[in-house]
Amino acid sequence: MSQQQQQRPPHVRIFDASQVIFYTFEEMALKNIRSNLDRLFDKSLTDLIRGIRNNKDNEARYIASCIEEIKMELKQESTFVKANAIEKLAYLQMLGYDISWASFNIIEVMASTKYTEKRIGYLAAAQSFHDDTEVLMLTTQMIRKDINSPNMYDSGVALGGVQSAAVNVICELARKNPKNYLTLAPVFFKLMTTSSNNWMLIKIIKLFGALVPLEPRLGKKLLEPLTNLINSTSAMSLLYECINTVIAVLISTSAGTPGDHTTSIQLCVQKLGLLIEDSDQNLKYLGLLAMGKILQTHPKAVQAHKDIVLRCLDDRDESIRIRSLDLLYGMVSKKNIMEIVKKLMEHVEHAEGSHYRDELLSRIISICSYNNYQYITNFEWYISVLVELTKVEGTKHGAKIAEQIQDVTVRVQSIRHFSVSQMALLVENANLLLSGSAQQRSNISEVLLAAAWICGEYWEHVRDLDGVLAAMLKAKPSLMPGHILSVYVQNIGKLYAALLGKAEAEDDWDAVESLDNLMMSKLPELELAEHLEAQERACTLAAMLRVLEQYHSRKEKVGAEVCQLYEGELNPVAGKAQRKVPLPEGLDLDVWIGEEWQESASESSDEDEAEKTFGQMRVRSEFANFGGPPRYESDEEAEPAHQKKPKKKASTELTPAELEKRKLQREREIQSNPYYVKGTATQPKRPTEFQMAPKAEENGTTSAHLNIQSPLEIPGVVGLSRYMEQQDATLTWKKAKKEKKKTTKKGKKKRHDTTSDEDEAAVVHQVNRHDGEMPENAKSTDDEAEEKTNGLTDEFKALDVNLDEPLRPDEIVRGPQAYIRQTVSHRPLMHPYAIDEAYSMEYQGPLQPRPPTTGPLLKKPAVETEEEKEEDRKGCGGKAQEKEEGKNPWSDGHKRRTGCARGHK
Amino acid sequence: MMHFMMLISCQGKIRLQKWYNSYPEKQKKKIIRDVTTLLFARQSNMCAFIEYKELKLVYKRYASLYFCCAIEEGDNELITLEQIQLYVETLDRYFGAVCELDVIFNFEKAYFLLDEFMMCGEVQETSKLHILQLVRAQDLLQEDEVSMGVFEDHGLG
Repeated sequence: MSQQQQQRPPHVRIFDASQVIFYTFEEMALKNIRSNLDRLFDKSLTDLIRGIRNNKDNEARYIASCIEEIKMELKQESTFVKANAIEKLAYLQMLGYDISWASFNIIEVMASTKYTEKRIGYLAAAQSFHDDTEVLMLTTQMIRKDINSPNMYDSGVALGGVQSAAVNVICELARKNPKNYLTLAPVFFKLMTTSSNNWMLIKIIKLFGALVPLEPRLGKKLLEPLTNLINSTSAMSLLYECINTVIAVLISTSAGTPGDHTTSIQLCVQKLGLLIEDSDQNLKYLGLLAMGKILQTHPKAVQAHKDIVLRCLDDRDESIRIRSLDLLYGMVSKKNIMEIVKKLMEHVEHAEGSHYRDELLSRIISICSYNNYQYITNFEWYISVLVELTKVEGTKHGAKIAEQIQDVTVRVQSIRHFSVSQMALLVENANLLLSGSAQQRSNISEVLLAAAWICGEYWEHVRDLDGVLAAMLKAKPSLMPGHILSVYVQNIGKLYAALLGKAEAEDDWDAVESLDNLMMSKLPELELAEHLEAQERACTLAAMLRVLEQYHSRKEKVGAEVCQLYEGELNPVAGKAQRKVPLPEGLDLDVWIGEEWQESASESSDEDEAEKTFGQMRVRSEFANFGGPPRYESDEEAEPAHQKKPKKKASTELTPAELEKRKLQREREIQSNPYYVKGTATQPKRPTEFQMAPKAEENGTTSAHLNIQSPLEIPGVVGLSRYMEQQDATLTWKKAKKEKKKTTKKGKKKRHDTTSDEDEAAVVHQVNRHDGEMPENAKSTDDEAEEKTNGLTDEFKALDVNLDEPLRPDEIVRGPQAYIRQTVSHRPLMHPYAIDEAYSMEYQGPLQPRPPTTGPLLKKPAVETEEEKEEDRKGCGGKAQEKEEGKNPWSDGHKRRTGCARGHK
Repeated sequence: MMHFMMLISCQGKIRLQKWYNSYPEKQKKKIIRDVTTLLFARQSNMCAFIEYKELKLVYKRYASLYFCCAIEEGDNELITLEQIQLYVETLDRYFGAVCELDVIFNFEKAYFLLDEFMMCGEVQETSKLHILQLVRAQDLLQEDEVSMGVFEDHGLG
């Protein structure tokens, strides 16, 4: 025991002695007996942990009882007991129990004079205190007191054993505001070229990555050492950091000065190719990630690695597959799109997990629709792909697929016949498609929206108009989502008009009568739809029919007039068309046009009015996703004289005053209407139970022979695989392919020249690749800058500091200056106690600056001794260094420490 | 900068959590839950990186323990893996063939080692030996105090 006493540093003894003075001997003895007893009965941390492990079944109850015990313990005076309690609490906190109630007790333990207890107190505080902890003020005071404490151990705990490296600190500071550290660049540059401590090198390279955007010349200088490092290093972490920084440098410099960096890019891409091919999944992932960054600026360079990337699509790891999907759109060309999509489709089929499947689906669509179908030469194939995609179960992209089918059919005139034939089949077999699971139904029903719309809009391509009309009229309001039903009703109208026109032209009054009868027998059911818009449309149509029936009873022909309702070609409208409508001169939306409107007026608005305005308000849902501005349903139906014209015409005809008036009226109605629902109205719930009966009825006839097939297989729908088979079987397809190959060179050069596109291959369709219609006087190029900036990484966005502002005098960073201490400490640095002593202010003499020792930027590094170089090579993570450490732990640890933490001096 | 580090056992029990950013308690719990489910969904042949909100999770599994760190967008994943490795090696050196039980019963030591290794989410010390020296020095100090406590108890202080 006396030996132990001697080992203790002298001041600890003094400390304890001072405490003794407070108590008389008897008091102390009593106290000690009591606390000894306490200790016997207290649970230690180990007991607690064991207890928790033994009470797995009723852990919560056990812990609750422990917390009660701890609360008792905290009430005792002994700091030892308290510290023990706090230690247990720290453990419970880690398990997720709330210990905020004990924060004051934690402070008490932090204030303990014993190192053991203080250490526990600080640990508990660091783990459990947060912004809202009430005793925060006390805590900071405690820390301040401890840092200033003459007791070296206290300050050691308070500082957490601060040994933070200068490089670390500067890198961290510089990341916040890089500009102010530009002056340090030469020093870091020298460090980068001479040191080979990987931990530090990575920090420095990161710092340079932050500095480059501020000093373009630096970028040029950096490329060489970075490429050297890329070529020489065996540490993957460093290699990866270098490549990332080179990419960042090239992105930032290529924006300013157009230089030729092909070699650097080539090197990066080549190395990344190696990473991607590596068997290590981590490297593969990171390789693909970095490749994606290069793709944004140098897509050509990446394309060389198409095969490797495609191979990654087969990887076992989902995250790797998703990364390679990211790269795919850079690899696609007119030549290989079919091959790539085919591969993706195979993946869709085999994909497990809906997330990946949905991801695949949206990628297929985005690849194909890229730049208004730039890569697609064969649209029949694309429609087949889309039809195939509707079979994917449980995807949430049904609306996306539907939108694509509509868009392609609108843009590509020559595809309409094929598209309509496919869509007609979908519509006729709707009951089959809707018989799947609820999820499948919601997906497929979105496609039915597109199908119905296409059949109605392009009825002249429908082979069996009667059949399609009959199929549409069979739609069950209980089975179909309302917004789709409303599209159905609208298109039933179109088909009816078409059939009526035909029948009247042939003077076939029987047909007219049976057509009217068919409509009048089926429409009442649709009039009962819960969805307001569907209901309204059905009612309008039924009312119209009753009028028409009167005409027909007098054998008067009205077909031409009815057809006029739906006449006119719909063109794609640019997504930004609405906001590009030029503001009419003198229009001030804030000025009242009439007298100021009084609040109470509108309560009395009668039902008719409400219904009418309701119709006006609602967005025509079939166009909501259509890439154009929303159209208002009633504009069309209320004003048949306008016929079908793109919306912009109608809107420009209105005077500003009228517009204004309408707007005000709308607002007023919205405000006063308690039933107005903002945004999309919720779809009525489709009953799931009583739909079983009709389904069984309908399926009875068809399902007998279809049961053998997959439930979604519809006879006649071509689908992708069958389409490809058919195409392969015909000569023209192969011929077309060859022809296409010949012309691709020409096509590439003049991609935007539509005439050269047309004669590219026999199967090429005329595609309306425009962005869509725009209002007159609008320029498609204004305020489009926002998109360009998206390419840069977040790293550079973070650097968005005010560069024009000069440094304040207190911010100027001078080059590093060596410091010498006037009173040199004789203590050996590596003695365990001495490190902490260094923080106590007593031992430090005044510091004196010396002139900077570093040279100008890019001065050749001073020649190092062989020994130093050897030492440098032991960076992080190397296995060789591990052995070294084992042999001579003391010295190696020291050397590496100084190398890393203090930097090379 | 590292945002948090946590050790999660195969049974989904949290063995150590260190936060370098201030989160409300509720959010912490949610993050732990999210991270656990994400980790358990991974198979052994998958890469060690997961994207989680705006952070990147880097994890490595040692026997029954997952070591998981969350880093920022610009951080280097591979060096984070090295950090995990270094920390595990330090634990191993400190406890001698470390296993999960060591971390459970001496969780405070695991924290002390981590605190010497990392500060504010950045690596501050890359020498295992130095970390061990510092922690052992502190332990030594505690031992001294324990023996002092014995004197006090017997009225010999």
